[in-house]
Amino acid sequence: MAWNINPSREEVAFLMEAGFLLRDLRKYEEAREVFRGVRALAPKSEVPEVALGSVAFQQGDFEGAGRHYRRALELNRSSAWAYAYLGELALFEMSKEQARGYFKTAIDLDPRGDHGKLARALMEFADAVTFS
Amino acid sequence: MGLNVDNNTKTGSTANDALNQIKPSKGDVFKSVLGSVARGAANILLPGLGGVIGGGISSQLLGSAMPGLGTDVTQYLALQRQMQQEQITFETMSTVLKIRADSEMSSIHNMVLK
Repeated sequence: MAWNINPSREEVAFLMEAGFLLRDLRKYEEAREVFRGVRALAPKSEVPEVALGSVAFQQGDFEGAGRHYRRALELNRSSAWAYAYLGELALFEMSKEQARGYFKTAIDLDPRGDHGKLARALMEFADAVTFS
Repeated sequence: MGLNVDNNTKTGSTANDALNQIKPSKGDVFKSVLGSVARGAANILLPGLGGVIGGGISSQLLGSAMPGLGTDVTQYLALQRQMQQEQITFETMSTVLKIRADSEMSSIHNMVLK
């Protein structure tokens, strides 16, 4: 059966917020379900893909998270958000230099926005912590 | 700060005498200033080193004034440094988490529906 659903921007934003809330409540499967639904509604947007990556990341599935982030970059090469999260992932995989490269790209893509700010904060955090 | 306790203090001494006893000598003031300056200068050259040098000077002074207290003070200073480091880590983490949430909200609200 073909569905003809045209959600408004507010409705999609509401779904995404609900997904993040479920993720932070550690209801990972439910969060994933919501983000998959949003991906079906907006298949060309990288946002639900990054969100799915963040669920995998929070579950400790770094490989799965990386797959989602790279898929997000295929959808939008200039997604500063995806680059910032890839940097965060590299940081947790103990690859500080690679992380720095991703953060730099995110900052270049979004120097004054929230994603650039996130990349800068994560870079500062990386410098503050010592990896053993 | 050195605390001079005079065993021959008479029972009828005035408040001024007591104040004079706890007032640091000029040498002590100079040493504490020197400690601060050394701490500041070292921090410019090597961040973090200043605290160690300054702490070392202070604990040395305290250790010579009150030998029994010296080791305790060094331990307290080490603990204080450790707590400061933890506080910085928590603050950085808290900032990162807040910015992370802002970033997510920004992505949601600027999402392009194609």
